[in-house]
Amino acid sequence: MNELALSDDILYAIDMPARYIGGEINSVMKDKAHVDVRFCMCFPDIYEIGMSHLGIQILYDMFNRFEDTWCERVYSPWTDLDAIMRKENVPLFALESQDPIRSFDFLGITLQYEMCYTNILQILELGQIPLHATDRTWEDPIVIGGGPCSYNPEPISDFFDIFYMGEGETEYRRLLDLYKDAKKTGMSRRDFLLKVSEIPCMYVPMNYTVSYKDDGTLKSFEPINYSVPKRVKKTIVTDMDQAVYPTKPVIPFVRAMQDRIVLEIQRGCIRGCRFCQAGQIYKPIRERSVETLKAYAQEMMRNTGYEELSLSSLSSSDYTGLPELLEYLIEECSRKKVNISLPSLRIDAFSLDVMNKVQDVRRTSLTFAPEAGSQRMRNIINKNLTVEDILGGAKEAFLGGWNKVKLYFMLGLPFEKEEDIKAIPELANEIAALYYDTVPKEQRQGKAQITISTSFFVPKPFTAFQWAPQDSPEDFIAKAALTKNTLAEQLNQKSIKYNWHEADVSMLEGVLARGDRKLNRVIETAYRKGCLFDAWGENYHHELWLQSFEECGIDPTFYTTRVRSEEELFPWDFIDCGVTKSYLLREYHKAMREETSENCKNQCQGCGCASYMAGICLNYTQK
Amino acid sequence: MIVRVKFTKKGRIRFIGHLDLMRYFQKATKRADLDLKYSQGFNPHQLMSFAFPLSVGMESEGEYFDLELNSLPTKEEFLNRMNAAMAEGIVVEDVKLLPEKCKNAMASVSGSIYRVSFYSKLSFLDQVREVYENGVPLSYRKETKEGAKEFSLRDHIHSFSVDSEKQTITMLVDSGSMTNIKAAYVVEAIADAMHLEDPKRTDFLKIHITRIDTLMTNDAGEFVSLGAVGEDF
Repeated sequence: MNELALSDDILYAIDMPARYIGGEINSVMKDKAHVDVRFCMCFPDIYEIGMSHLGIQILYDMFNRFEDTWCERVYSPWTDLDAIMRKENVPLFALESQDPIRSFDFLGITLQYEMCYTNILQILELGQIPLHATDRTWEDPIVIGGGPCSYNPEPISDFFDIFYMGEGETEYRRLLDLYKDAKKTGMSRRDFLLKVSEIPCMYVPMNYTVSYKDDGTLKSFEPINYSVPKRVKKTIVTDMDQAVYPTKPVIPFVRAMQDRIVLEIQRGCIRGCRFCQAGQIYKPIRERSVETLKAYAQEMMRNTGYEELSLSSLSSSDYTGLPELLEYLIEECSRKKVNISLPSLRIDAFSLDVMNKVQDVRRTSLTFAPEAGSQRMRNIINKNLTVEDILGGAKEAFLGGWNKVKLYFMLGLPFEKEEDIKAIPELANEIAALYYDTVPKEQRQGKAQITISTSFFVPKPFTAFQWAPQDSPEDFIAKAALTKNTLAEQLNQKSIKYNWHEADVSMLEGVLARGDRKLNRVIETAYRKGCLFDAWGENYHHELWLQSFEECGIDPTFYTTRVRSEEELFPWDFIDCGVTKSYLLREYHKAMREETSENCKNQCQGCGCASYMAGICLNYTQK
Repeated sequence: MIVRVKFTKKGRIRFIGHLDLMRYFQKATKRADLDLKYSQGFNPHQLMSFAFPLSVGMESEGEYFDLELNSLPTKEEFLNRMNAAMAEGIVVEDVKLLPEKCKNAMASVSGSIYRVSFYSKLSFLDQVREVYENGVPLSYRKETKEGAKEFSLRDHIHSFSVDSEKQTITMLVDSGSMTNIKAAYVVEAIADAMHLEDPKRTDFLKIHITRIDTLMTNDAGEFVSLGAVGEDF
């Protein structure tokens, strides 16, 4: 086995040295002399967070199945090791070989949330890789990004050589072959990156130039020459049963946030909730067959020994094979002494029955995500959930022995009025009252315990609300206060708890989500001021970010509270993710009229994804 | 039926802490497809009991845990299957079937043999041997509820040898929930008794510890290996 990159002195001095030593069960060791391509996958947060991410397990498995490639992993060193590495000039290394990441051919960084952008710079800097793509040579790896935030990559475009638009299972082989060819023929790095643009899903920022109007909005986004396509098209897996799946996932030694078998049952969503970016970018919905999932479940239990199994998808209740799959899993997992962790399910008789079988109802809570308190607001966001659904489900649950209910909402949704906000605690109150009405005193296991949790709405690219202004932090706080005060007036307020999120972080998330290339400098400035692990509450320094905006001469509210015109060219318009801008605008207008739209199963809304000829769209196109 | 499993822990895996090691073994036994016995109740768990925790950074040639099974494969099968499920650095060396009514591993532990080695070459190990053999008092300061207390280590050290060539110190000390002597305490006490000053002191205190074996006390009052109990199957 290789020697460790970190000395004993360092390992003894830091928290959880096990994060940095590799050697995990199912981690892959190859002989670097016998592979042509070395790929380093990175999740820009600490090990325990990164190891919870299914995407990296999928790609790690895929790359390592290629005989000519060895894929390893790297995660953000925590602040204690970060300080030591800078002081003692220890280069950032991959876990398997313990080799410096700079020596790899590719560094792939997954972009799951905007608050990890400063960590990307940490990875590059500690890896001794130039932060700016334009400064890199063949001594440096090709830095490639993918994942949800790549659907607006512009704020971090300086730092990446390539962005991969879409699902990673499909086009990497082509990219690696292109790379091997380039190396063999002695192609320059710049020419290689020009050739990469020939792959339709690859976005190479330096192959495009941007210009701005006087009002600061985007004027143009142009390829630098004719061989570079004007738009980049997202790629998707069309047959989920054929796609690779990590049935031998790497098992972390330390406890990861999500430390269990994960079965991805489907990808995409039919619901079309207007605030939800994931629902749009993963369209069309594509299921894995029940047979495939049953086989994966068995293999994974055998290969891991995990004692917990979970299902992963956006709206699990819509999976057509759910009853059959759950029946199978409940029986198999019970035999093998594996706990089932259920995803969020629509609350009805079926799901309550399932939950009863796998959970201790006295200890777990029922989760509803109405996202909005009033029917008017729910229609605006196209969240198809009525008061009858919620109360009906809650009543069944209370009769079944539950007394804990969690309710998730957002504040700051477009066209929101005061009465919509007040409706949140009023709804919670109705549920609490229902508990006392439904369950006779002798049968109650204590009070009803209702928890309201509100987050602050952040408009995202490729949603119907990408034109909507975002509330300022002051507005958010006022709305949270209104919610709190209205709660205090409710009859059953003693049975209801209220949690709300940080408003400042939501503001920064809003800037970065719909930002443009001008923000590259702000991110770098904030990083240089010490911003790191911004997703970690205690490490988030809002003042440093505000200072950075000021120093760069940029007004953050330009990206958040400003109302965007329907004619505006967005920084992300060059991406074709399947759904058309006209569809999204149509949905935005419907929201203004408080009109709902049917889901994909009931009626095709003509979003544009049918161009992929996959998944549920086939129900409509194969006539 | 209960078996006692002996394993070694060496190399980079020494940085995995005890709790993580337990969770690791819980998965390993399932991967090895053993016929595990589970507790009753809503959250059934394996009946696995580790002898004595190893600190992060320590290696070991003799660690033990007891495991309850419904049925046994052959000893060879057991070892093969478990080792196929092991990470590099952990080797399942032996397994024995415990007699009925045997005290569990955790309750049995009474001592450990530690081998201490150093990161730099020390010139004064012969003096260390002398200090020990001369009976110089060795004490350790411990924080108790009543404030800091000094207690004598000598009563708890049952053997002690120094190999100046191999640059190691090997000691047998009390271990367990009642009294637990860490190798580091002994080394520090010797450093104090020798009035060692830097850089010698720093070099001496920077130790690498390997537990050679975990011990229990037999009916005759002697220290024996935890692995001495039980029979082959």
